[in-house]
Amino acid sequence: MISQFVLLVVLGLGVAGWFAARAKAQALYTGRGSLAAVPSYHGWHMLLWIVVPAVLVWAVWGGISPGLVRGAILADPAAAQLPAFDMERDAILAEASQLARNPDAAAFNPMAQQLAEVVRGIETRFAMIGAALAALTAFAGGAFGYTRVKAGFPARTRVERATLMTLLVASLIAILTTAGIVISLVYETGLFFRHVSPIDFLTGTHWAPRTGFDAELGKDFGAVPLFWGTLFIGAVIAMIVAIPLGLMSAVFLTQYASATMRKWLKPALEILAGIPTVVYGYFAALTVAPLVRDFAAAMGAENPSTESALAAGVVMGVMIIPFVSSMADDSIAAVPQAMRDGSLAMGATKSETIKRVLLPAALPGIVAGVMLAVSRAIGETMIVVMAAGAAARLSANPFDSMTTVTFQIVQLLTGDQEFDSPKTLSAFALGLVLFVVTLALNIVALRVVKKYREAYD
Amino acid sequence: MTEQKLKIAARNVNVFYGAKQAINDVSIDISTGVVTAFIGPSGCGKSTFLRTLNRMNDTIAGCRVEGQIALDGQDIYASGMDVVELRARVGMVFQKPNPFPKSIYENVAYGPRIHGLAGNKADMDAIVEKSLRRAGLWDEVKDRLAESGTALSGGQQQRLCIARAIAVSPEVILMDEPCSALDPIATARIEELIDDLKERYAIVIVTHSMQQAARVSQRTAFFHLGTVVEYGVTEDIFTNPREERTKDYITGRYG
Amino acid sequence: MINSSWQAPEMQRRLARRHAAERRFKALGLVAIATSLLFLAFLLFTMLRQGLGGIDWAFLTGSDSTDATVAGVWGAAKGSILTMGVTLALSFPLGVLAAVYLEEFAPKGRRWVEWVEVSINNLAAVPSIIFGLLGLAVFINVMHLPRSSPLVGGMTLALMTMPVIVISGRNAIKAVPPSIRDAALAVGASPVQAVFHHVLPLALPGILTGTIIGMARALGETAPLLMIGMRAFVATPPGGITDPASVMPMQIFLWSDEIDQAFVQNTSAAIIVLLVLLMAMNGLAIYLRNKFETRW
Ligand SMILES: Nc1ncnc2c1ncn2[C@@H]1O[C@H](COP(=O)(O)OP(=O)(O)OP(=O)(O)O)[C@@H](O)[C@H]1O
Ligand SMILES: [Mg+2]
Repeated sequence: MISQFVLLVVLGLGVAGWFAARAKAQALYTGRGSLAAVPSYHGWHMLLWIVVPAVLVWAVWGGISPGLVRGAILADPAAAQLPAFDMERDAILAEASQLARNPDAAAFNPMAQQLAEVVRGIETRFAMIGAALAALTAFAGGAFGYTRVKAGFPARTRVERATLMTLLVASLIAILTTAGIVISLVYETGLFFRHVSPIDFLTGTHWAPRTGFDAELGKDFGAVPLFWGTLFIGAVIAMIVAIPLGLMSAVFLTQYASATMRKWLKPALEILAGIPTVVYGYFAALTVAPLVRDFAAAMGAENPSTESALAAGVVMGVMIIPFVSSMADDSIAAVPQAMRDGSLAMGATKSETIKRVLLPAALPGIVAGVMLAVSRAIGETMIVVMAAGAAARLSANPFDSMTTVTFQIVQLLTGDQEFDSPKTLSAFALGLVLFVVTLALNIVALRVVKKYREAYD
Repeated sequence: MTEQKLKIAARNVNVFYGAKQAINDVSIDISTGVVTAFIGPSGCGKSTFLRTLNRMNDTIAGCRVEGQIALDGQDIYASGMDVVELRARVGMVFQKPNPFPKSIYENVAYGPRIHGLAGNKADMDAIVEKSLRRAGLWDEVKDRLAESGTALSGGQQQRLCIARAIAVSPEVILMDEPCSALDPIATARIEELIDDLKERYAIVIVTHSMQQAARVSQRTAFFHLGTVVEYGVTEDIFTNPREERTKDYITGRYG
Repeated sequence: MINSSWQAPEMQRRLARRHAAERRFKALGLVAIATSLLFLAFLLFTMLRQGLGGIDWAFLTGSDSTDATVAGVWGAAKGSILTMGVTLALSFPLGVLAAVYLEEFAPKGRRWVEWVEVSINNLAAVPSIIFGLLGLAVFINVMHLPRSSPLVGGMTLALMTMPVIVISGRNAIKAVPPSIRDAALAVGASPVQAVFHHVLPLALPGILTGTIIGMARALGETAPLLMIGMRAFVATPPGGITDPASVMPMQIFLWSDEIDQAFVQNTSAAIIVLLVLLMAMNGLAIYLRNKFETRW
């Protein structure tokens, strides 16, 4: 509440400053070249001086004030009877501040009820101090900005410099995100590897994650069945579906379909890519999996499970079709027309030209596309969560239920979790493996595409 | 005769694109009241030199300028020089008309607005009208100022670009083959316009047409392979060139 | 002579075989597309058959409940709206500004600029669940932001959406012809003015198209939100971005897990609602793209 109010006041001051500075600059205008910057830039310069420092002060205050508030509460005589035990005390304090904000709520702990009044007073006091500080900064910034409004002052250059700084910071977010991913994954994985050796993790074949630390932990965190399940579903079954269908769709769309046909078929195919994965997962579990099970039963399998690698893989393959198709489309389009004409002019039929000339020439691009498709498939989560199963099993039978890296990450991190258990930590280790593998696939694929493009440019 | 006053003095200018030298030791004077024409075979550096005069070459990565170019005695490559002010004083019209995809009015008003040349709407209206009149476009567009500038014909677009350049009251106008995308009638109108404008401005025009250079300019510089082979009064260059290469070029023996 | 050899029955038979192969190949292509589209039709048909009956006013305005007959989708929809609001508010400005910087102002060939570009391209291909891990580790465990809230969900999805916006934004900016920049610079606009007055407005439709597509993807995303615990049972719609909330895909996931068969209809009905929203968004993106396709 008070945050919004402070922000509003500061912004209001900024707008007022904008008009004041512009008016002052306008008064200085005596003719062409008499002002180094258009009056409105003086206004913007002023506004920045009012808003930016004040907001920064408010944000910094927001960072340090909780500590100060807490200190003040504990120093208050009303807090003297609080239990000394940290956890309990924190719980009561948290409840008290909840009550302070929302007096209608029922108190669970009578002590919190007593403290609420005190907490409210202290919190309000500190918020007031922060607001005053922010307002003071806004006025100080404004006063400084106002003195800078002079005929020769390059307000535009200054404002533009601030703009460029903002742009720069925005583009650094991407690096920060990447760094955030790498650091958090590596850090948690490091904690995990203190208890389970990386060798056990990467080569062990028994996966039965559990809590509690002991020397035997490594025996139960062998991730090979997960890697196998991931590859079997994402790189084998899904690709067996997606590559032929995607490739032939692309060939048909680019080489045979008339313009009107392409105009309708291509977007229709792309709808497949726009359907949320949770919908695919639901469809796989509800419709495809029973079909697969019945089929397995008809084939004579005993007790076929509802969850199967096949159901998940096939649906995932369908999801990837438009992706493979558009990658193949691009690579075929990149093959120079002259090559195709050369073959056709010899009297080769269209299909012969496609099979003997176009596809071989486009192969590097297609391979890169398939690699990107695999990287998508192995990172796909919802379909396997809903249709693949939890059994960590090394099996080549597509009717078996199998588990994947992403499934296990979800499994390990949902439900009751305590943060430092080997279970939760192992999820980050799995995440790191997934990140590294998809990253490698992408980097290699992009290299291949680039090389291939250069070859024809 | 209009009064002639030295506006831009370029001395020993060299321009490099990376390691490649595009302009080699060029010295030229450009005066108010005079139309100066740059002629020469394709790739000889006319556009390159023209762009150095208002630092439009700053936008090209790897482009480097040596030597001195002074506008009213002030070095335009000095570190204190404000490029924005320079370009307001030295306007430019490009080979292909490039109006903003905005209304005709906005096209002309944009420059005065960012430079704060109009105190109010009435001032701005006056500037827009005056600029369009000078560019010989007012009568054709006065009833449709709100229409998009890109909806005009090629010749009209180019005159709009000239109006846009005039609107910030520059002292010099640089034109890089302003008529090459236009038909002969539109070209004739632009040439008339240049003749009118030269009273107030220093004008530099790059052209591939000898006839055009002869018709509109009073001074001509012949560029070849990055150097100025000959620079002087247009009549002299065309009737009595001193250099063999100039003669060969204007008689069409090569180029 | 040559003519006659083409007339030979041997050659004629060969030609006929080749033409037959040609027809077979073409048919194969058609079958491939038809198979994909049939799957799509089957999926949509199944959802419509199961879910259409469940869509009524009570369903559209109700919230989650343990009783399938009174459970509705509005609570999750509101969670989605709040989450998408946070995502858009963060990823759009940041994405556009980053795109402008990289395309117009970044010094070419610098090491750190290349790093930024590589980061963006790679982030666009990182599995979404990894963003969930990042959100869990940073927003929840380090910054202690409220778990299950649209705030954290929106921030996580914003990190995922931003690269999409940057990439489409750069392409849109690149498509603005350089002559426009020259025109602005030549009347004395500064580079910043040239970009913000001329280039960016012209690139905006393209940027918006990319943004809508990125937002549509975020709207259908479930996995990263599972990581940050947005699977709360939300019987009343969230009031603000710090309240516990669920989102539509998550509601679908949760309902699909219910043992009670009555939830099948709810699940499919929620899927229909979600798909209609997504189609509307993609339709809008296509409309924008067609309407503003290159005017120069
Ligand atoms: N951006 C650039 N980078 C590298 N070299 C360039 C660049 N622009 C021009 N050049 C080179 O500089 C030389 C001069 O080019 P410029 O465009 O000035 O010629 P020009 O006389 O205007 O030719 P034209 O009559 O065809 O317009 C040419 O050799 C050209 O290849
Ligand atoms: Mg040129």
